[in-house]
Amino acid sequence: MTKDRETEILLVEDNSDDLELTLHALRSNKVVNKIEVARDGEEALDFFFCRGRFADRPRNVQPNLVLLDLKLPKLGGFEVLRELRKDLFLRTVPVVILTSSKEERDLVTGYQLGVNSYIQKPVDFKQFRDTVRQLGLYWLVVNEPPPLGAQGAI
Amino acid sequence: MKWSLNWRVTAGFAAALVVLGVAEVISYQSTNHLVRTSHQVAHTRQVLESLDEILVTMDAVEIGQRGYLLTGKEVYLQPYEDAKDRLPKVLTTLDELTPYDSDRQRNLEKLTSLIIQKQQELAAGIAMKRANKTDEASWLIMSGLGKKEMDDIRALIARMRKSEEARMATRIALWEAGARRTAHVVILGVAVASIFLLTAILALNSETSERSRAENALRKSQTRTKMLADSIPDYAILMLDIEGRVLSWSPGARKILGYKQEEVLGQSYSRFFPPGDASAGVPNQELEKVTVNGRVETEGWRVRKDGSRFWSNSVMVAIRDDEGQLQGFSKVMRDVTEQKAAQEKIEKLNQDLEQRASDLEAANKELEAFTYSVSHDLRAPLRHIDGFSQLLVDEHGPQLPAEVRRYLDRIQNGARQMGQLVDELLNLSRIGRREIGLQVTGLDSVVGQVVSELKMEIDGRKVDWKIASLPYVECDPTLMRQVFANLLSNAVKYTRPRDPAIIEVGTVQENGAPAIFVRDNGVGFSMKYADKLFGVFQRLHRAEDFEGTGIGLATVQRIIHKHGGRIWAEAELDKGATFYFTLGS
Repeated sequence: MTKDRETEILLVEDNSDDLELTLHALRSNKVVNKIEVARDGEEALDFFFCRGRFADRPRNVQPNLVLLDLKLPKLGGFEVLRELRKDLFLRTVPVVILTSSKEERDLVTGYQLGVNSYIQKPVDFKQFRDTVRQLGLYWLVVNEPPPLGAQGAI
Repeated sequence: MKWSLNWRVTAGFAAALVVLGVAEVISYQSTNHLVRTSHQVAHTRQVLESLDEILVTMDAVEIGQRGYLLTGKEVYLQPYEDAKDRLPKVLTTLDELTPYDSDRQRNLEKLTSLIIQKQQELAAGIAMKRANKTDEASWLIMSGLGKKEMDDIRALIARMRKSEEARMATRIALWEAGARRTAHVVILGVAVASIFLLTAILALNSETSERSRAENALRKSQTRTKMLADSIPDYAILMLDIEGRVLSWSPGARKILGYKQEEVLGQSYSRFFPPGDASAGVPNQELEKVTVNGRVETEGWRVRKDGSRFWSNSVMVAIRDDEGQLQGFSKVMRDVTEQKAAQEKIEKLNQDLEQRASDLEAANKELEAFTYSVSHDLRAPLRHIDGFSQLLVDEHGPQLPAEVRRYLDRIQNGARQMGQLVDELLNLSRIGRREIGLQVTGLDSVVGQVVSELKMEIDGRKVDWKIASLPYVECDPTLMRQVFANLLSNAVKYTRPRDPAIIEVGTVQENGAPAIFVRDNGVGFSMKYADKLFGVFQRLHRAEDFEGTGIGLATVQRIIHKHGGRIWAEAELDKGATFYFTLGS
């Protein structure tokens, strides 16, 4: 299972309201234990490359799932995704875009950059909660993640 | 060909002249020679005559002396006396005729001395007779001395004669040969010159007839050209000389420029230019350009006789003869003022259109940025409103008064309603911006999918679906699905009071083209408001009765228009509604 990993989900979200609601939805479903939060694109990359606030994080451990917002301060969601997919070690990390819009060009860009899934946050919170529950179940329970330490070996 | 013809004529005449000249020189020389020869012949003849005279005289002298010696009559001495006077004269003449220091001179000297000797002998005989020494005189005769002398003289004269005759024969032969040669040369010369002349004349003749043929053809062609030029009323056709003066004027020129032929013939064509252009030398520049390039097409303002201007299009061509010498110019001119105005109008319209297109593009970009921002930023607060309201209900529901829970419900409803509005508006704007991707699509399957989804939502209501077989059409399948989803969900919604609801999908012929219809037996609407049906946010029912955003039909109409089709509705209040649409041509 997923218990051997320090961080199960990295949530990249700048809006505090969205952050609180998303965390609430994630926790209420009781499928996730360890959630790390990055508040902008730069922090997200700091997490992956073990810099700044995350300098002490062990490098060889990566989250089972990244929930990535698109409109972020400093570095946008797509830039973060691009950096991850450029890195041999990080390119296998599952990334789900979780955002307000479903503009066609965002969808196209996301998939071209190699995102694993694209989800529009519904306005209806009950629907949102349900969506997040399904997400957690699928990526943390149903899905088999890439083996530890073998990410780059493709 | 022309050049060689000219050359042939000239060469022919020149050759004939040269040949005749040569013959002339030769015959002149020959004539000179002839004259000289005949002088010589006459001279020889004179010599011969003198010799004959000497011989005759000597014979006469001797015969006279013998007569005297035999008869003693003085009368016989008459020839002797005559000869004494004449012989020196004849000899002198002969001497004059004989060239100095030649065989002939020596012969003459010998003859002279023989004659003198003979005369002395004769004189001695006569003197003896007079002294009556008759015997001695007879002896003298008998001695034969006189006869011998006489024979010598005769022999010498015969020799001299022979020599002179031979000389004369030679000269005559030479002269005859010369004369024959001259005759040959002259005949040949005349013949050759005649051939040359004949060739030249033939060449000239053919040149002349060819020229006259060409001139005929030219005249005919000029006539035809003039007829043609005269028959084209909308073109000014004129000929200019190399200075740009008008040589010919067509009726079209009169019509376009207003001048009569007699008013412009010989006038410079620069008068048709606006004064500014004329003084700036534009007409001359044009002539120079045509001269260099052979052909020039120009457009510009020209001036009529009455001073009015028109925009002309003209083609000018330089006219050259066979040797390439510039002869003048032909000019064909047209009044294209209207075309120019039309063209300027089109250009202006094009510019406007381009401006509008770029404005539109800018507006589109702005709209795109706006909708992008809306889709990201406008939905977030709605999510928060709904989300926190829900948390409030979830976590503190039991403690809240019923009225607060009802308010929270209203807040959530409002937020969701607005979320739906935003989504539908974004969809509408996306359809407007999106290029449609046409593919041949079976409408049966599109409708089938939409209906099966709707069936899950109708919660046990009784709906009678009457779906006819639908055609395959060229359309954007995603958008077409939206069309049927909107129309059929409307039908489901507005038949809510009916039991059973009847919803029909089928095709009809509309002005010879197939139209698809969606019909229901729902609440319908008054045709008074039919024009508001497809407007954004336009609703014909209260939200309490039938929920909705007022964007669905606007979206449907936009999709149909994008396909080049038409949509319309027929309805009656409480008796149902039918929506029809076509898809392009």
